[in-house]
Amino acid sequence: MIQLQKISKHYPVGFGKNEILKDVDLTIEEGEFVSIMGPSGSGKSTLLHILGLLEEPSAGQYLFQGERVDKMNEKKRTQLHRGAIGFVFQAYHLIDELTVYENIETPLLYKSLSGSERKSKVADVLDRFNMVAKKDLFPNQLSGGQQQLVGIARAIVAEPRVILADEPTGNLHSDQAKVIMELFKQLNEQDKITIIQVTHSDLNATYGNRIIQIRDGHIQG
Amino acid sequence: MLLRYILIAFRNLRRQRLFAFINIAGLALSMTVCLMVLKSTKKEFSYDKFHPAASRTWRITSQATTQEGKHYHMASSPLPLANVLRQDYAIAEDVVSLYGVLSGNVIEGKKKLPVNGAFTEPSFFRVFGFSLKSGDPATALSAPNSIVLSEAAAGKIFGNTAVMGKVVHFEKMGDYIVTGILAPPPGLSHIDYEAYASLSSVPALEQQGMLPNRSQDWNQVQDGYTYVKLKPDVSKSSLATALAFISQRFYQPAAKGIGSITLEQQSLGSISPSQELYNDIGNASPWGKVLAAIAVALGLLICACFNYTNLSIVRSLQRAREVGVRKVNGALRWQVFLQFITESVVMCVLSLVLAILMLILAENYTSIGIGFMSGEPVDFMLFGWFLVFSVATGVLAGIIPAWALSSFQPAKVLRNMVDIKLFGGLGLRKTLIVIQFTLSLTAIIFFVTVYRQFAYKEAFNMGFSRDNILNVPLADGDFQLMKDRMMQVKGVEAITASSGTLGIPRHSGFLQVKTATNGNRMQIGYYAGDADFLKVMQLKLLAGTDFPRTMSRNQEQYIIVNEQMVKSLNLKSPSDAIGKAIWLSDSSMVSIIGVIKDFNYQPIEVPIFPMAIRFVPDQFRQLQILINTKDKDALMAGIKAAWLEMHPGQTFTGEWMSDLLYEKTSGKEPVSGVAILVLMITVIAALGLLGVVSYTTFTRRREIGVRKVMGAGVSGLVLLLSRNYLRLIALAGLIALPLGYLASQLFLRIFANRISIGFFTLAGSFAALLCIALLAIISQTWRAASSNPVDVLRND
Ligand SMILES: Nc1ncnc2c1ncn2[C@@H]1O[C@H](COP(=O)(O)OP(=O)(O)OP(=O)(O)O)[C@@H](O)[C@H]1O
Ligand SMILES: [Mg+2]
Repeated sequence: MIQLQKISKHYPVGFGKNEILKDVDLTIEEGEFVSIMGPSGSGKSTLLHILGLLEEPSAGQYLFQGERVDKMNEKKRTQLHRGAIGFVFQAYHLIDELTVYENIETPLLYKSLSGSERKSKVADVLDRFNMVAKKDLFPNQLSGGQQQLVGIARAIVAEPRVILADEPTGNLHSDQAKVIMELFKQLNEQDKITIIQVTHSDLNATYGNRIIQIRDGHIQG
Repeated sequence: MLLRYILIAFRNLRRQRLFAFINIAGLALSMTVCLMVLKSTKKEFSYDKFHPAASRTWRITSQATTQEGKHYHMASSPLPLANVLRQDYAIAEDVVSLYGVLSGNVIEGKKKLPVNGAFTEPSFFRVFGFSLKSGDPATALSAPNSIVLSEAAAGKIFGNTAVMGKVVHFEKMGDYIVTGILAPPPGLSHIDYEAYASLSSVPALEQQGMLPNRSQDWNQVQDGYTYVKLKPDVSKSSLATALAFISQRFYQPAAKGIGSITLEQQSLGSISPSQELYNDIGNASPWGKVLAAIAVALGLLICACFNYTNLSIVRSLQRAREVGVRKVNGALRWQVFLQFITESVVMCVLSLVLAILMLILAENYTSIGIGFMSGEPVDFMLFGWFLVFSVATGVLAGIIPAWALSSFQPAKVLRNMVDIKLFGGLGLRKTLIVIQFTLSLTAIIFFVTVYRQFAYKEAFNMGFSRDNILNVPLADGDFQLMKDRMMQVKGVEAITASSGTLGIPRHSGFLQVKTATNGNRMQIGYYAGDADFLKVMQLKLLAGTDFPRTMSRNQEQYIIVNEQMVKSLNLKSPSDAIGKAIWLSDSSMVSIIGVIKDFNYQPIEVPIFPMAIRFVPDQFRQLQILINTKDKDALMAGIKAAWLEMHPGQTFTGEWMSDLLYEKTSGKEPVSGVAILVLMITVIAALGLLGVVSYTTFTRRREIGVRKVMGAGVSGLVLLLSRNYLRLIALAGLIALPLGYLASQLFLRIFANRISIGFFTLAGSFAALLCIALLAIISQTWRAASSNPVDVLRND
């Protein structure tokens, strides 16, 4: 499903450049649950952003579902964002001005769905995450774990093929982290959603079925 | 989707109260002015829309060149033109001549009423959309000495009685039988007379000498207005060709010593707003005024929009994450853009609501005209325009922030790497602040100048006396009899009869004089006054004597002139002028009996021109009574009784000369108008600055906290945080001082007698603005600098 070939990424720093990723080759199959690990500053988030089409690699090829990403136009990329890829962030990144319901609904707004379709999809997700009672609350009225649940709900409501999660439990207590990881596992196994998460926790990494170690921009064996 | 955007907009407003308040207050203030202007502009453009074939109707104007080579574009045209167009050219469906000289007093019973009318022909009702409430439009203006009255004029003259068939008796222009009453016109028109008499009455009036002989004179262009309704298939160029032919046929081309006239056409729709032709009729505002009002309103509005732009950009850090999240969830740039535009439109529509409220308040409960008040009712159309206007404002205000915000890259945003400098916000923001304060300071300097000039004008010694003088009209009868009677009232010191009040605009008359010796003509101003004029007005004789007490009433013999007049006669000293003979209007010869010291007989805008005091009892309009008593009430009662005794059945209107001068020449209106605008623009700029400072210091609160923990003092921090803004204000001052100086000079040019602007006006204005700005800046930076650092640092 995802194929990286000799991907490099560098940022300009002063007159030189700062190499973050060097010749990364990586293949991830449909239905995998991958954990990316590595020390701080090693380029995990950068890699995830490239996978999620938020950043472009400086060199190399990226094939998403067999298609070359660098050949895609803006429209096609946005379509992938709307349909195939869901994001979960360490800092949740909910929109403060929107209620739980509206936050979850956001990705659907940008797909051309009818109002009733949107309603039923959001209702399904709320139901599944046991958050029906909280649907009219605003993010600042929720605990961190609850906020992250909403973040995940928002990521899956548009039924993506892959979820990219950058330290989804980084801000959470271990009990809450457990709930989130169970949820990921369930999504992976029942809904066959590919999951790629960045994590610092060995425990969290065990939920997945593959671990990628990254160090100094290289993937270790 | 749109609904969702609107909902978010409201939630944002509620969360960001300061932001919402600053924007809505500023926008609403400026929109109030805009609405006033919109209303009055709509009125200015609504003239002459109800005529049956307005697009085919033209007014003929005259490009006149005088013998001296001076050039005038006159709205009027020669009277014989209408018949030539009718008879010799087959282009017109109808032609109508309007001869606006039927003005004067109408006498009805004991009442004397001024009526302003015109002579015209039956085609009037075919060319224009006026209709009759009673009477037959086809014939009402056919027979000589028939007249059609407006409803108001009919009521004024005859009261509530039946009017058709009654006789209107003009004091100096004969009798007319009422053959029609005008229905109220369906809209505004530049043609707005109280009465229309048949044009066929004019030849007889000319024969009797009641009107000058003009109906066959191609060289007289005053007061005659010609309108042509072209046949449907005739183009404008055919009319132009016809007019060119007529001009050639009746006039020589202009040359040295030869005057000439070229006829032109002006479409009915372009008469109002007025192009300020000479002799124009109607009361539409000139284009200049309409455009100036629009410019002022838009200037204010743009300043308010700047606030929105600035604050939105400053605040964009807070919104950046939202943009990133939306984009990650599949929003396209235009969708994000649209969302922010919707927010600013919502803001503007809210401001509109407030502005409409303020407009209603301003129109109903205050008398502060800014000069744009029109008193027009707000109809549905106008309301639609208001709405369109506020949506447009929203787009205008929101376009830059929406563009900047929608350009955020999600990857950068979500890594917290958005730097406000990334999209040039800083430069833009500074520029906008500088522009606002430049405008504001320019306006303040201008205002101070206007205020000082009018204060100066009020205190200016015009060279004549104005206190304790009561003006009473001299309606009928002999001025000497009236004077003798009034002199008996206790408390009266002296009385003069005069043609008008010194110092009031347009009260002086004008006439052409020629010296008997060299025959040089010149135009001078004059007042008619009697032998007590100099005494009551306290004008100083430099040479010669006052008028003798016994003078012929019918034959002018003597004249008193001012120093300027002596100069223009090329005489060395006042005493040289005594006894010199002068021709007045080529008709009578008088000799100079006295020379008076120059004084401002016209408002001080105008320099002192040559002028004269003439003894012309026919032109006496009023008695000016100098009193020497403190008991003004008793005196007034005495004068009133005496006046009524001589004018039974009429209403007495006496007025103090000083009050009249104050009312007619003081700058109350312009000063208060400019004051309101200055206040608004300064409040808007100050609010904007307040908002920007407040947000930027908020974003720097962590830096402040860290600095404090490291031992920085409050005053040092305030200075650090305020320095950049003070620099901006100084820059604004640098630009605005010369600008304000220039604008003020331009204004002062209106006045022949004027103040100089001076260092203190400029420095004071700048200091005032600086104080306001400091207040806005320091109130915010002080608060941030004196906050407890622990609160901030613990929070993240
Ligand atoms: N826009 C940028 N310009 C320059 N350098 C950047 C930029 N974005 C990231 N970097 C650098 O790239 C390196 C990798 O960053 P990245 O966020 O991928 O690390 P990470 O592995 O996610 O670390 P952490 O575990 O702390 O989140 C860092 O050293 C960072 O300074
Ligand atoms: Mg990271």
